[in-house]
Amino acid sequence: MPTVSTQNSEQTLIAALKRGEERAYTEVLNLHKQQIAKTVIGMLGLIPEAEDVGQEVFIRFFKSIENFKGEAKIATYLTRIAINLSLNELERRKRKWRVFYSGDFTEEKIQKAFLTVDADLDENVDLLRKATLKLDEKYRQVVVLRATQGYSFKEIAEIIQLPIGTVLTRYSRAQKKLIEMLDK
Amino acid sequence: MKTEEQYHIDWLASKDGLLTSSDLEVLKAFIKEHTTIYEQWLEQEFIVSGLKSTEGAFSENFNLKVLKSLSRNQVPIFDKSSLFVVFIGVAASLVLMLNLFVEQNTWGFDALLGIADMDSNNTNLLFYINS
Repeated sequence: MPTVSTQNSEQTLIAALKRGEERAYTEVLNLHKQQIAKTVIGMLGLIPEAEDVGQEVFIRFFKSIENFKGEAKIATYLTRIAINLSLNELERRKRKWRVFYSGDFTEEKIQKAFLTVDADLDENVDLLRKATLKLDEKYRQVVVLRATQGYSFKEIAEIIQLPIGTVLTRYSRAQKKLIEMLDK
Repeated sequence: MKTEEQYHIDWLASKDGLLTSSDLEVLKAFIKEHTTIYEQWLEQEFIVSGLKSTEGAFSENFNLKVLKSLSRNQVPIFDKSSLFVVFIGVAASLVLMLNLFVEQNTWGFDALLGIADMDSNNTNLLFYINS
C-alpha cells in the first residue's frame, strides 16, 4: 500500500505531467525505467525489441495521462501496460515465425534466434531466466512479477486483472514447471 | 480433502497474509506431518527467488528516445526554455521588420519587400539592388 507521503508525491507528479512539464516526464522515466526494463526483459528476453516495447510503455502512459485518475500507483499502471505490450509482442513474434519459418512455434526456437548472450550473468540465474522464457505466457507473467519484481499476489492480481486465487494457482504451477525444466 | 497443490497455494498465500486463521492452522498441521514436502517448497522458492538478481536495463539514451517520440507524436511539452526560444525568434523578426520600415522610410507592404522607393520610370529591380 502506498504511504500518504508517496500518494502526495505521486499526485504532485501527475499534476505536473498533466501541465506538460518536461521535468515531470523525466522524473517518471528515471523512477520507473529500471522496473519496466526488468518486466519487459523478463517477459521477452534480452532482445532488441525489448527496448522498443519499453519506450512504447512510457509513450502510452504519457499520452493517456489526462485520463489517469490516480486510482492505481504509477508503477502498477506502467507494469500493467508493460505486461500487455509484452504479450502483444510475443503474439507478433509467433505470427512472424509462422510466416517466415516452417515448423511449429516454440518460444525456445525464438529465443535461440534472437537471444543476446549476457556473459556477465551468473550461470544459474541465466539458466533460470532461460527456463522462465520457455514458460507459457500466463505462467511467465506471474513469475516475472512475483520473483523478479517482488510484487505481492494482491498487486499482481490488480496488474493482470485476474482473481487472486488464479494468480496463486498459476504461480504455484509455474514454480513446479520451472523446477522440472531445471532438473532436465 | 485438500491436494498437495492446494496446500502449496495456501502456503504461498500465507506469505502475503492472505490466509484465514483457521486455514493457517490446517496448513501448519499439514506441514508438521509432511516435512519433506515443506522442504521441497522451500527449495523451490529459494531457486525461483534467484530471478530477483537478474538485471534489466535499457540503453543510456532511453529517456531521450521516449521524449523525442513524444514530441513527434505532438504531445505538448512546453517549458520555460522552449518559450524563451520562441520569444527570441519573434523579437528578432520584429527588429528585422522595423529595420526594413526605417530604411525604406514608409510603413507599407512594399517596405517589407524592400521596393518602397522604386521609381515608376525604372521598374528594373536590379537597378535598385546595384545602386
